[in-house]
Amino acid sequence: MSVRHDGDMIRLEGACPVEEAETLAALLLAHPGVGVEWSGCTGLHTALVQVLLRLRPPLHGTCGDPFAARWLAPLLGPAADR
Amino acid sequence: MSDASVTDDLVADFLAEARELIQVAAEDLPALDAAADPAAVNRVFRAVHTLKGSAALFDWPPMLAVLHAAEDGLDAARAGRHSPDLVDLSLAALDAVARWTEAIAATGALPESAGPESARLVDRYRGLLAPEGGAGEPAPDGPVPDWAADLLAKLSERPDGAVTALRYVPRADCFFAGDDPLGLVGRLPGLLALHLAPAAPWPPAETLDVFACNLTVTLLTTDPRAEVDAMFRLVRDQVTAATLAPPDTAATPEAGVAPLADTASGAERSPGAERSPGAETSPGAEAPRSLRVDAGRIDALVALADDLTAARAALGEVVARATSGADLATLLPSLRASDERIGRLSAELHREAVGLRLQPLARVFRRFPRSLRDIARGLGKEVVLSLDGEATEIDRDVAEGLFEPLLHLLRNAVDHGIESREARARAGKPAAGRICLRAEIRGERVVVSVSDDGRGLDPAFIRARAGARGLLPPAALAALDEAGVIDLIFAPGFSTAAEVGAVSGRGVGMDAVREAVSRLGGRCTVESRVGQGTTVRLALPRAQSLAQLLLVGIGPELYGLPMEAVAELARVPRDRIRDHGLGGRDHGLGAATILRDRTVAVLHLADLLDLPREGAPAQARLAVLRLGDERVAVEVDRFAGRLDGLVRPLPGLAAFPGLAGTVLAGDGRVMLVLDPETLIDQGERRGEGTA
Repeated sequence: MSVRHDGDMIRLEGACPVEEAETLAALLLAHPGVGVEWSGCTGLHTALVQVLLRLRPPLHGTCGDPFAARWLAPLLGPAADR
Repeated sequence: MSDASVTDDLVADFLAEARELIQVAAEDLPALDAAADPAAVNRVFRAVHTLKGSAALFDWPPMLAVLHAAEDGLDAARAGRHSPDLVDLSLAALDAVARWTEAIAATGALPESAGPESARLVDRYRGLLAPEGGAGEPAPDGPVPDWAADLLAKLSERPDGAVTALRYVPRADCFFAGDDPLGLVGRLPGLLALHLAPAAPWPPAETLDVFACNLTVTLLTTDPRAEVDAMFRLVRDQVTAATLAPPDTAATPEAGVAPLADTASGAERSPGAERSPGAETSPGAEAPRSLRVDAGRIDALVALADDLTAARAALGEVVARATSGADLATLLPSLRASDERIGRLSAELHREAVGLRLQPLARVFRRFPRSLRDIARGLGKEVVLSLDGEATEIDRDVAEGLFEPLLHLLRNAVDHGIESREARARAGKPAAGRICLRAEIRGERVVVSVSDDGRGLDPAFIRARAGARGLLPPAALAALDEAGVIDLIFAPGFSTAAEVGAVSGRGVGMDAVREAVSRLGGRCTVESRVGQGTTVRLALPRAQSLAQLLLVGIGPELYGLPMEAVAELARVPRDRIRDHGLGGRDHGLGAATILRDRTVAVLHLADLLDLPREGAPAQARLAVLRLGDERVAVEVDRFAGRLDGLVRPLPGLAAFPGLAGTVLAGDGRVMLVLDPETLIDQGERRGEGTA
């Protein structure tokens, strides 16, 4: 499974395909304020990035996908609010 | 069907489509005057672009010229070069095209006046597009467009060379087309800056549609403009690019930033943005098409509906007699007769209705010669495409779903199949590569194939690659024969973005082709000879057909298994099912039994569907499935009879390996229909995962 709820954290693992966007959004909406751990994630489809951008959960760890870690993390963090 | 009637059909299709597109464009055009709503500009551009593509199939140069000029004008508007006269001029152009369309409908040809009128319109567009300075195309190193200014200003250090700026507003439905916009962006090696913003204000979080893309991507990169254009060529209608001059020629970067506009206000001017050269977008953005139906077919349907009503009335009489106390046994013959009559009529009705959905493949095929020419030119190759069997009729949804996978196969054929001119000369082949797109009917299926006379697939290379990627355990890989090895190109993870060229690459490999084809209910095979070429065959259902299903139960639920895949049903004492090869761990995987002197793997359907198992009866009920030459037994809780039904494919994103679609049961319930092939594949993959 690439999106899973684990204790008080949502974990993104492996390559997260478009289909997982729904799961991610549902989990985030069901648990407001919950963090997302993405260091095990090796690929993130745009649909999931969009969910993170819209719902802005706190992100933990460094994304395992270098593109996301370098370019997306700063845009999804709390600082880049717009 | 003769050539002439195919052409007539195409003209008729064109007329229906053109009327619709002209209306769409005319409705949105006036909106451009007021606020230059980017979505409206895009809609008009797409309508005109699609119309131009369709008109290009025919020999109507004046119409094509006007549409081409209008497309250029609208493209400039999309890039922010908005001229106040554009709306009026475009309305005049649409009006002319509408009049010509009706003339074609009436007389089959353009009116005499079309030539001069077209020339006048094209001239006016030209005047509109010429910049004040009078130069033709805008200079490659133009000033900074407003949308890029913010990013450029934030850049801590500007590189010496030119910078390409790109704004990419993916279509809302792009995820359904298999696009991964940021995946594409991630492939730019020279990325300097990236910004993401919602394209339209976000809806409330609870109503967020996660599968509707609502993003505007803005970026700066050191990648040369031509490479950026090539990489984004398939989404050309969704991107705007500009080349920014190096700082020494454009003074300081800040100079270009001066009039910083609020990006939300929309009214943007970006004289630096030029249109990307010569690329055709895939027509995924078409307006909805209407269906033309032969009047005779409608009459036949109405007649059948009348017959069915009469048959139902006869059944009603029998029911009335039963209610008033008639003996059931005496009613039986009339009941049987009614059942037989209604059954025959509904089958006929189904056949007629399905016939309405058939359309010739020509509509899909004829879109390719042009795009293929562009692709080949982009790669510096010479290719001749021949089409065969375009008149073959196929279900409309299948035809529409075929465009993307076929385009991908054709692109692959040019990019990877056809060799360079020099290599072809060395191999004694003609300079121009040959690609053939062919359709033929084989029983209830239509086989669509793409063949090339290129270098073919190299089994040794595939074997090495599959090994390096860990697609199969070394032993399994070694055991594969050549055909099995070639089949590995369809395995997920075989091709990666890193080495796919700009033309083939958009994050889809052959696995996506196979998936798209299996969603259409088809199958995909490849045949290749080193040095002689490759043929990929897609065997597709010709029409939606009634499938015979075996109903099987797991817990309270029923599922349908296609009868054609069921070899036999068996009841086997539990103690004759042995767990093999998993060190005695009972995962329900790796179990097998002996049936007719053959060892057959036994998988439990509950495990395959991730459902809880309910006990283990002393007698296991097995549905033995035929998968090619293999036999695999699937254990179920019960057998629940048969059902004939129309299997509807699942909507794209609900598609799940193991499921073929849904069927409506007699009592109105919707049941899931299993796809034996992917179901078992998945089970085996899991089995390997736990082993």
